[in-house]
Amino acid sequence: MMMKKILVIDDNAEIRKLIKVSLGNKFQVSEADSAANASLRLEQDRPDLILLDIMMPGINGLDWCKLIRRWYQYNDMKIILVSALNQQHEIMEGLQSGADGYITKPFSPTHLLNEVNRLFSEPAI
Amino acid sequence: MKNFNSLSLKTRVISTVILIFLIAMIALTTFARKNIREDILALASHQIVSTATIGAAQLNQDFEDRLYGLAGAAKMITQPMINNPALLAAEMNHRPLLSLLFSEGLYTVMPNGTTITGQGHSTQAFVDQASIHAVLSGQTSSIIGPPTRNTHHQAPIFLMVTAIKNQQGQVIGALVGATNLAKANFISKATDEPYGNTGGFLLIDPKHRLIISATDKSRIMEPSPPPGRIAAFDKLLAGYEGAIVFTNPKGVEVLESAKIIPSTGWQFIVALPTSEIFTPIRALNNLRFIITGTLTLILMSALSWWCLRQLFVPMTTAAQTLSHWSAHPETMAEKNLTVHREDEIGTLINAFNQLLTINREREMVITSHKEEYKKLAIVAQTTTNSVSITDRHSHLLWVNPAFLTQTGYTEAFMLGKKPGSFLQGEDTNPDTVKIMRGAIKNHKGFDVEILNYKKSGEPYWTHIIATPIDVNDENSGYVSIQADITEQKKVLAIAEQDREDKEAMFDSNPNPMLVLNSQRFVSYANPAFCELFNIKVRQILFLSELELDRFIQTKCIDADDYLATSSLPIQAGLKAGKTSTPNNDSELGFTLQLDEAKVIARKYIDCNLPRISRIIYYRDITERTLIDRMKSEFVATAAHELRTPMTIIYGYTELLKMGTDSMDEQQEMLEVIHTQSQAMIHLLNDMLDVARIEAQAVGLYQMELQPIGPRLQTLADSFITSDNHNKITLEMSPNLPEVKVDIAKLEQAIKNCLSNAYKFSPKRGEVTMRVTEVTHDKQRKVLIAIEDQGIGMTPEQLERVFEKFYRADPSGVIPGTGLGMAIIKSIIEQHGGAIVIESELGKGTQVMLYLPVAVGGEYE
Repeated sequence: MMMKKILVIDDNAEIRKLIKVSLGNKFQVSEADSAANASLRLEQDRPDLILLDIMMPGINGLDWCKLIRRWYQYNDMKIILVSALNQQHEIMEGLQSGADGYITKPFSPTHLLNEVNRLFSEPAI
Repeated sequence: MKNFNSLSLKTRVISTVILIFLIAMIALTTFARKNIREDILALASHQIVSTATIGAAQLNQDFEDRLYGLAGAAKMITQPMINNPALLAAEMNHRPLLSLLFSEGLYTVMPNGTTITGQGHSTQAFVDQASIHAVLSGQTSSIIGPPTRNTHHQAPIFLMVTAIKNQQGQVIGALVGATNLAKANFISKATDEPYGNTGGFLLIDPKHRLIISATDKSRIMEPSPPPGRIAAFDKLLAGYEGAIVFTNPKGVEVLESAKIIPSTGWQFIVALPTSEIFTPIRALNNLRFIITGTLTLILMSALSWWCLRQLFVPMTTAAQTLSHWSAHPETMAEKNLTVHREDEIGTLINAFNQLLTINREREMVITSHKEEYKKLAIVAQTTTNSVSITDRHSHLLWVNPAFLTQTGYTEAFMLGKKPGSFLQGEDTNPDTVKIMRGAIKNHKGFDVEILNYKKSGEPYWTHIIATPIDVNDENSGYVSIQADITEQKKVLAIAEQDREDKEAMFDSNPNPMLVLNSQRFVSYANPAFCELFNIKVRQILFLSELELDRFIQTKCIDADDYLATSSLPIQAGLKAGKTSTPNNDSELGFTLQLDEAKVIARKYIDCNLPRISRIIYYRDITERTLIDRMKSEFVATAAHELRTPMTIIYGYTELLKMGTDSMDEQQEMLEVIHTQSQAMIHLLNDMLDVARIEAQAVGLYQMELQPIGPRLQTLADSFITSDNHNKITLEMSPNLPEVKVDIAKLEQAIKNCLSNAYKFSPKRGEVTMRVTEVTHDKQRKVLIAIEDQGIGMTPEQLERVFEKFYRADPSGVIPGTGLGMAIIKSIIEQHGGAIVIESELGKGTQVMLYLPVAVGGEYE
């Protein structure tokens, strides 16, 4: 079985590093410091899951999520929003933009890993 | 003698009547006398002329009969008879009648002049031989001679002689008839009887100027008046056919008429003394007549007097009543004079009654006026207002006691003077005086307020109402009423001042406000309101509340935000004069699209005041809203910034707790946790600073006037970077001016700047701090310039450099919170200074802090 590919998009290097540590070594993890940079790598990396921050310089994570869902050809790709925005309406908005999950910062590394595993274990529709 | 005018009316009327009667009577008598005299004279003249004519004609007939008789007798006498006297006598005897015709006998005369026959004497006795001779000589066949005196007995005799002729016609003798005028004869038949009572006849021979016969026998043979002596007589003798009045030689006025007797050429004259003719006229002057007249007059006068008296009774009664009333007016009462008649006197008395009625009415009016005058006098005397009366030259005629009290002058001093001459003083408004003089000049009323002076010199304000008085359309001066309004003026002045103060208070209110009057129209808008909407007061005044709402709505970005106050009823049930508690409606406000968007909050208070129904207050909360927004944004940003290190700390601590990692990995995680905790501490400190600074807590600043040079030197010397790399180059001008600063805050700002300079100089470039005095923005300032040779910034970065949490390095390589520049800016601005940053990417950045130089403890 091939290792699942995960793309972490966050402007903060320390966060990206934490996520990477949290996910352990069962996944093939790549990083991008902005949505713009991530877009360039999508075709090349073909990630199975994207962990996406919302508040970033440049393109906002939500807007990027919507764009991807509309225009990107591989729609079985999962997206989990990882954001400090923790208000109920913010979470609802995030899920409506096409994300498959929403994790609020600060997050529990265990919870993050569980979420990722849960998503990967779900059968594809 | 009493004056005629003082006599009674009756007497006067009667006297006048008598006088008129007398004059009329005299005039009538004179006129009648004259007319009667003329009429009588004319009648008498006619009569006398007729008498004369008849008399003359009869005499002429008598003379001609006699001449005829003589001629007949003479024809009978023949020559033989002459020759024979007896025969002749016989013949004569046959004619006895003829001899009767001649009173002095009939004689026959021979041609030689001897008398043949005759009675008595011979013809020689006759003086008038000339007539006989004329006949005998054949000069005439017959003649009547003039009367002559008989030589024998001196009797006046005239002869009638006729010729006796023979058959051949020769004069053979003469027949002479003699008439004695002294005896009764045919002439005297005509003349003897008197004419009337006193008149008579005359027969005159004008040729010989002899009176032949007359009623007065004594006058026979008298010579008549010679010609030229009595013109009228001459005129009669000349043949005047009429009657003439004249005075005869006897001195008697007579009326005479003459008629000639043709056969003799004598004049037959009838004379009548005028006294007899005018007897009827004289009767008029008769005493009886006068007495009768006088008596009649007296009787008539008495009668008239009595009648008049009867007629005048009502009038005299009325006169007596009137005179009684005038002497005792109290008895007059409401009575009128009695009238029973409708003639002139009745009319007169009625007129008196009307006059009396009018008089009574007048008296009533006067009585009521008197009462009013009494009251008015009391008013004028007792009023506290000064009352004065001036004449047409503005001189005081009268003043009331209040005037004396008010001015302090005595009546004796004031009367006759112009009030202005002693009442006006130096502060009296000359314009007001001009107004008064102008009104007086035109005799118009005036109403002014003027400052006058009392005798004591104390000024007082008085309100003068002056009314011009016209008596019979003639300027008669003024009545002036003056009220002392000094206190009133003071109160008004205070009220005015109070009003001005309040207006100033409202005008100076920086918050816009509006006042609506009782009809909910805008009655006041303060300058702040006008400034907010950029309109003139007059554009907003007297708009209705509805119009006001529409006006504001047009200015709103979203008209729905604006809640119209006109739809909000004025709070009912307020106590008079009370206001409701402020109604905090739409405290969130509405946004106006003016030059820049402004957020306005509104409050209103309902008032139950006579002229105010509602006061609306507005407050420009744009800034507050902005600050609020900024604060919430700041909090959100801050939370986000805190969340990042927290996430890292939380995550690693959980991983550490699980303890699955190697020691190296654990060590690394702890390192990260430590670093992130440090970052959090910095962030919290900076956030507190920003919060403090943004609270604009000026009170927290300890401003002191001091030279900053030594402090900056110390700062530069002691500045230690995290890696102990100290390379600050300080260039400071000598004699720097003092600045007023909170030195601790200023040091914090400079430290931040220096810190930034090092942080962004990864290649350890040199950092320079220069302190000089410059002129910036036209002010003397101290410039602290910090220059590095670091990475610099792009123009985009430079633009956002003061934004909170903005970081030129988003990578997180260079530590920082993104609040440093915001803190520096706030501190410098709190000092009244300015911050300017110049930067070029890759070359470095220069931060320039300008601090104003203190002059006399204040900023210049």
